[in-house]
Amino acid sequence: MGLRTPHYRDFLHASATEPAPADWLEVHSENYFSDGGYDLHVLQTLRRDYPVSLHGVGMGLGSAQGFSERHIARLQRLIERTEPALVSEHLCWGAIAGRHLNDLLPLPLMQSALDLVVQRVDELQSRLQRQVLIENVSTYLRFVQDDMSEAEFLAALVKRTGCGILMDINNLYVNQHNHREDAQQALSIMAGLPVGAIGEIHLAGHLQTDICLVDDHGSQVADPVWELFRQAVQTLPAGIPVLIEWDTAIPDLPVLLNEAHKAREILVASTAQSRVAA
Amino acid sequence: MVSHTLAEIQEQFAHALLQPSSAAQAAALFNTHPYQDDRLALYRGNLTAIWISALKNAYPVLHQLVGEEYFEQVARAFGRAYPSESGDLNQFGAKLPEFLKTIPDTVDYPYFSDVAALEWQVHASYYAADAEVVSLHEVLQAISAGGQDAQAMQLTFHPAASLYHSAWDSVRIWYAHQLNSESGFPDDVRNASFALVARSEWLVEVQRISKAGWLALRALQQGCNLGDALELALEADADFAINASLQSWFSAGLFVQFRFPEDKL
Repeated sequence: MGLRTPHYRDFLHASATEPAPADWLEVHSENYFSDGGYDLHVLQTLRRDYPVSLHGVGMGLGSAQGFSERHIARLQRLIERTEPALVSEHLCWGAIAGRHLNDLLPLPLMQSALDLVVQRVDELQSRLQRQVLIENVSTYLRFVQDDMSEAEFLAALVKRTGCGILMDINNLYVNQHNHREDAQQALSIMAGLPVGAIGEIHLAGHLQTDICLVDDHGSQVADPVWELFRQAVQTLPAGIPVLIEWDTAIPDLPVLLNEAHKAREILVASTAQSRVAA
Repeated sequence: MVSHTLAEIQEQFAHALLQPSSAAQAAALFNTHPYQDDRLALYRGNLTAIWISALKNAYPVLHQLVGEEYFEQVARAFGRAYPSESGDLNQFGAKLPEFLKTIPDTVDYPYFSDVAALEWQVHASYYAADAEVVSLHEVLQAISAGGQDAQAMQLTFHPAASLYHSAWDSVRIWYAHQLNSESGFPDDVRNASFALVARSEWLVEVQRISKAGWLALRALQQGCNLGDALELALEADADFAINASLQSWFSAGLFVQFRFPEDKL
């Protein structure tokens, strides 16, 4: 479950009185980069009851210019403070010289971009002394100079750096729709990686517009995304953590818990099925 | 096909977001699509939406003062003029008070910039480092146990504490826009106002203080001892209430450390 400010009270209250409403919590790392204050206090309190995953949205691993070493240092401090189970970043860029754009911008999938991201992930993992998961992103544009698909890019990144993948099923679906890419093929490329390479799965809702599908994390997971998820869990090893993301028009907690329940049922059904098959 | 480096592609992409007029130049970077321009515009819309939401978060009172439409207009102009310097959006907007002074249409509202400055102090206080507060009781105990001269005491401010002053009644304007506020917009904004900003139990509080109190606290903040600081307050206001002020400063959680000059030895 993604921990967002409107649900702080639900979780703080629950952790004092009842069994945990979620198995684990994921937060956007940058929201907790401060040296103190309420948000960090809440995270450190909930950390006692839940495994935590730090999900970065501001590093911009693929920014040719404007990449910040200080950002890594601040992430490192947060890791020391919260001892997360998972740390992840996005396959994107977000800055030019002298300006951060604070968005997950689409990376040109060029050989030179791969070389740059390999170097950055190597540096990040050696600074943090741990494996980092890299997430595929939704995009509205693809570049003429792309040399490979995003799945091929990520597979090469895994081979060259030993990083893991955070596979966002909704993003695969959004890109399939927006660029006529084959989400099944992307799935099979990633599923073909060594066991353990896929370290986490994201599910989220998207917005349907005339121009394209927009990855707004503002609604329930769409049916075709659930279908793709069903296929993914059949080809992947059991036990991969799955997260429901909801960032805009955040509903009451029960709505989110219901989505998490749905994901859990699909996972259980898949495990039972593979046991029968075995 | 013209081949570009990654840095060139990103520069052109960013410029296409910041300057819609340079979008045509960037168009050649993308696989052609009937909705290509609209899709680029989605990223452009995201960029301004991000500025607007980050600034709304830091400047809720300014947002109420100027209204949605003008606030968005200011946010767009500010975002272009003052680039975000960090991947952490909570740091975006520090220079908005400075920017507001440069906008010609705020001439009739000279207090906008000062109200914004107070809001940024509140924002910074919310995210400041934690530290253990010292109570007046602890200080008095130390004085009576060690026999030190209270006048010689120096005090260190909490990382979340700061002082504020304005040539306008910005403090009352700020109060008037808080949830369930009982105080209204000041009848006359042309009164100087002073405040201390501090965090207690995670909540940031703005406490209106007198000019005399502000002078004493500024002196303490700059390292003066308590005796000299209170002297300044009494010079400004012979009726300055020393005991009541000390109690309210300490209970606001303003100080984290006290020492007497001989502690240095």
